[in-house]
Amino acid sequence: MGLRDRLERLDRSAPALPSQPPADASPDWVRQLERELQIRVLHKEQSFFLLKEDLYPVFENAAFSYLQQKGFQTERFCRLVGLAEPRPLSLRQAVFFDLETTGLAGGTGTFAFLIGIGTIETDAIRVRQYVLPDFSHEWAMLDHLQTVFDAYPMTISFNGKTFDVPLLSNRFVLNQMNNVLENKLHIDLLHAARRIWRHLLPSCNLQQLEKDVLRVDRVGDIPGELIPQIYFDFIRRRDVWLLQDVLEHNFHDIVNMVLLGVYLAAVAEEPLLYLNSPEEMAALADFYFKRRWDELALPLLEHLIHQAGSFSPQFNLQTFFQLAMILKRQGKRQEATRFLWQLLDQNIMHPRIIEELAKFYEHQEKDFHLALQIVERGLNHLRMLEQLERVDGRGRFREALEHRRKRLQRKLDRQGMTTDKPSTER
Amino acid sequence: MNLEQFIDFLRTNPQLGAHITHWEEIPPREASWSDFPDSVHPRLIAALQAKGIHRLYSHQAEAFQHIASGRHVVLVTPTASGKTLGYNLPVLNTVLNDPDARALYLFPTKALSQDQLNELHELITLLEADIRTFTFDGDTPVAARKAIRRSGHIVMTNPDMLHQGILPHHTIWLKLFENLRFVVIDEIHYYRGVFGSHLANLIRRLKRIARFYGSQPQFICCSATIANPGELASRLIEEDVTVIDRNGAPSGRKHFVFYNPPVVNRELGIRRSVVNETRRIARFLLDAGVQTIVFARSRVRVEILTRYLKEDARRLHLDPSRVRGYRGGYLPNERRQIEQGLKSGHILGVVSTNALELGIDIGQLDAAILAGYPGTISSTWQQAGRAGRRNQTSLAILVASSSPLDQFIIQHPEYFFQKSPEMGIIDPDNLLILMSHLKCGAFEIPFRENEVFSPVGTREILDYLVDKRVLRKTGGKYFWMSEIYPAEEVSLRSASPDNVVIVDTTEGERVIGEVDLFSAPMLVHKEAIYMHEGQQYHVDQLDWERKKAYVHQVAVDYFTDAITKTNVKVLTVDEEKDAGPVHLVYGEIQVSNVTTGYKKIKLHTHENVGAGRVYLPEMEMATAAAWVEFPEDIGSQMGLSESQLSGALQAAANLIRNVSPVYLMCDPNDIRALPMVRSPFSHIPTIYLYDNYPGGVGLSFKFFNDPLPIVEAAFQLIQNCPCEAGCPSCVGPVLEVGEMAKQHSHQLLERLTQALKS
Repeated sequence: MGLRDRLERLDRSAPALPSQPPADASPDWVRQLERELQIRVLHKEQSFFLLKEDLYPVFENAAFSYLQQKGFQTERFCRLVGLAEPRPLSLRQAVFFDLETTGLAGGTGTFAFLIGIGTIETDAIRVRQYVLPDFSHEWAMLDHLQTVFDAYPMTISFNGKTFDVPLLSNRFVLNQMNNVLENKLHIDLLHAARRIWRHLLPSCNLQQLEKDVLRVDRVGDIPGELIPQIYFDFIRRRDVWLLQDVLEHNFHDIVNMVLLGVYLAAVAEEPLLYLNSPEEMAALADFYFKRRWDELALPLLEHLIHQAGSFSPQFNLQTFFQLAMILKRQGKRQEATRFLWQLLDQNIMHPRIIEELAKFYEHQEKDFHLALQIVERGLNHLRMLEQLERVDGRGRFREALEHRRKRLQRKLDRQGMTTDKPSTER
Repeated sequence: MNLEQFIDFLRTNPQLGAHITHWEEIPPREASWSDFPDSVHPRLIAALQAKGIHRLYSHQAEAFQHIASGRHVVLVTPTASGKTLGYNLPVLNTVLNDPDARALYLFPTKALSQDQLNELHELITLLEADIRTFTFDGDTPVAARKAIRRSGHIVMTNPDMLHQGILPHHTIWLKLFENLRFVVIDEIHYYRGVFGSHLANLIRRLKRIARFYGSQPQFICCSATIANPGELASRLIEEDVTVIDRNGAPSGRKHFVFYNPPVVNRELGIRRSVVNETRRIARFLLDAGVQTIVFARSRVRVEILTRYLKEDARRLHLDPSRVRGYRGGYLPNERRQIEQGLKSGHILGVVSTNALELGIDIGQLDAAILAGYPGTISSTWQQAGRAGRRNQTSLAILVASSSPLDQFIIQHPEYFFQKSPEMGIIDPDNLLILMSHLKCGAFEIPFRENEVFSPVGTREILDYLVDKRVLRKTGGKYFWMSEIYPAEEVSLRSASPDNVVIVDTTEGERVIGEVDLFSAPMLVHKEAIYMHEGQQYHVDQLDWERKKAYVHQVAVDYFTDAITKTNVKVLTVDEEKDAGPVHLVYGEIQVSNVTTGYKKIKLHTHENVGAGRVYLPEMEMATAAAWVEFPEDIGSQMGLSESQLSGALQAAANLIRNVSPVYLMCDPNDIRALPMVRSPFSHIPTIYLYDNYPGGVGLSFKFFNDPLPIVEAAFQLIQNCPCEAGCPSCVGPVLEVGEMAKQHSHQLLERLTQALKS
């Protein structure tokens, strides 16, 4: 019995398939691609790959027009995308890219069969989509892409840090080529988007963002999970129409990703102009504040404070507190204290406010009496929360406050022995 | 009383001595030393000297020289002979001279790699060199993985992780593969049968990837004593291998004693329980302050013995924490603590399953008691080898149970002492296993048209996979064309990796241990008494969906023993053929194991004091099987009663199972033979032979296609076996198959042979 027979009889996993000789990439087929899908065929030695090129004109897009006027130069985008070193960036120097792959599992057996790249022209987005006609031609396509990528000093993706960049890097390594992505600046828009919309949108994927932020509607899009199988069918059957939906899907991904990048850059430059809601501004201010980029957080916080009357006390807590902390860092302690008192007067009593105020009166003003009063007030509040069983991890605050109270008491006792200085009651 | 005195006591005490059936004294052996070879880096010598190592054992030096001259080696020396240094020495020496060099260590279990990591760290700390070693397994934090991939000099992992986590992502392990100089495979005797066949294919994939990055690693294998370590190693790595088996480590005098508990019921041939007898002997040893390890055959027995010995310790005015249990299912921290306690000497007695048979470093103890024959000659030597400090006398006692196999061994010591240990047999070209790994290989790097992965079948299987649309052949290469991640679909081991977690709810909720999914219905069914470190817990609930068992502490005077049932159901008949009067069938069967209830067994007296029912899903396995259907009236044709026919079928099944590993190229555990006087499927006398792996791996298929050589071999075995009426090497122990089974199965096989020839 032949090995083949034994395999057929042993292998229970394989489905019975009608035998179907794979179709070859014939000249007819190539002509069809060119005619029906306006795809060009590029040759390299014995290999070839496909290229579809389009220009997407952009008009009536405020963010795009704004950046256009600046020649697509941005000073502050680097901050929003979280670069440690500030530097001006030009979005025209960036290649936006997005892959369609033969699977989502990753690993070396997953191919990028469609590599879509987007670049910014004066008043349009240029989209180039490279398609693998079959696996054996991969090297030719990658070889060409190396030169394309080399012309741009940076790449931009959406979720590329975990998916597209490692996957494409794998392809270069596997084809024993230089990995052009290595050591090239890469910006992942997903991370920037998350900084603003993490808590504001049900999810931060591209579909959600284009709907709620860019306000674009996509119709007739194919579900992403079908894409690998469509490609397998495409190379087996050589049916050019199968490719159209995938190309379209990827085209929209690229265009919307570029528009999102442009929008985020505009937001970075002029957040008050381009962000739509106070919640977005607060989220962005929070990010800048935590990175200690005070000069970027300040205008946002000042803007929010002017409208504080129309927001809830809980919302204002963060704005007032962060503003106070920035003022403190700038040495404007009195002003900072004023904002903290404003919170306390509204009975917004976060332990950190208590702590900051107590610190100020203890160490700056040396008004131990008032400091002690504030600490007591905070401790009472914590006790009340405990009774309501709403302590949620504030135990460490309590410990710190208790500690401070004891110290203040000691200082007061010692003071009482020497002078009898009355404190300024508020 | 010390060990020497205990040995005298054992010899002379009439109570114990009467039941000793054999006393083997293995003379001491002097150490054979070698100086450090010239090419060992001076810093390495200094670090070893700081550890008190001033010379090498001859086998370590021999290994170093062979490795230095570029050979692949297998080191075959007993436990505690410094095998670890045998591979660490050349690896560290290479990395010291070339900081870019990398090494990959493979251990069969996670616990072992952790253990080896600690030992290696210690040496590297003394070296004061920047040599980075890491374990890389399922427990490695994601945040640490990147650094390990980039800068780990020595990466320690297990076959499963290599298979699913490393090889399919080789591009991000570029640094490792480009500079891979050594692959260390420890405990290769573990890789037998189907598991070994998988490992061999894993090594093919590893070598293929290394070649892709231009490296050609040298292999260093280690093995416990088996019959064919050189052959096994060279089949696993498919290279010529130099065997280093002249052990240079010293050993003291060893007494190996066979002890058969006295008969308590002569009619039924029932002997005193192995648990109670083991306890009796262990108690003497504890009293004498002799550090002792007790090996028990099951987890329940480990716990019961732990409990008894803790009680004994208390009575002997010893701190009960000096007696500990040790088995799979204890949490890692607890295990580390026990290992440390053994090394420091605080722990005087440990009761373990075969979990301590592998090379986990617990130092050497004085005495080992084997409560029941471990089942194979090589396991027995491994377990006995846990006792024996350098230059000091040690003792190993095998306490037999009433099982036929134990009784045979205890009554025929020459069988054990003279027969060579088991063979490690693998079949890397098993079609289904090979195909699984060709899929994984194609995923990793496309196959070239003329590429040779296995000596036979590469091309045919690849073409077959093209037809099944798993691969695509284009431009002279085979490409992976599926969304599936193939390594995930291929499990290297038969057992499911899932566990049931045991949660103690006595005070809050605390995880105290775990148990593998297959054993959970037996050990932690509702109402079971689960024991951990001798403490009893009552199982309140087994949440099968969430894989959790909730227990609380109790103190009761019984333990529970699950009642299980095995059923076989024929699912499909794929092929059948007649051979004379017998009918041969190949198909798929379902083997199910179900826990139906439990018995309550009183502590100490071991009497049955109650029972209960359990309702749990069956543990099912669908697998491939071949079966032989005899003529319905074969019994009367041969003039046998039904029970004689049953014995003859059992004997024939045992024979077939005993000879088939050689013909099917597997381990005895990979196949099962099941005789039935009246099969539920065909209602006629039948012998089923099935693959002990979900889905099957093609072993029974080989039997179906060509049964004659196996049946003939079984026939010859019975003819040539010098035993009187049966032994484990042929038809099975007489107690299991009956007095006449050897003769009857001889006739049965003769008929079968003739039928197959017709």
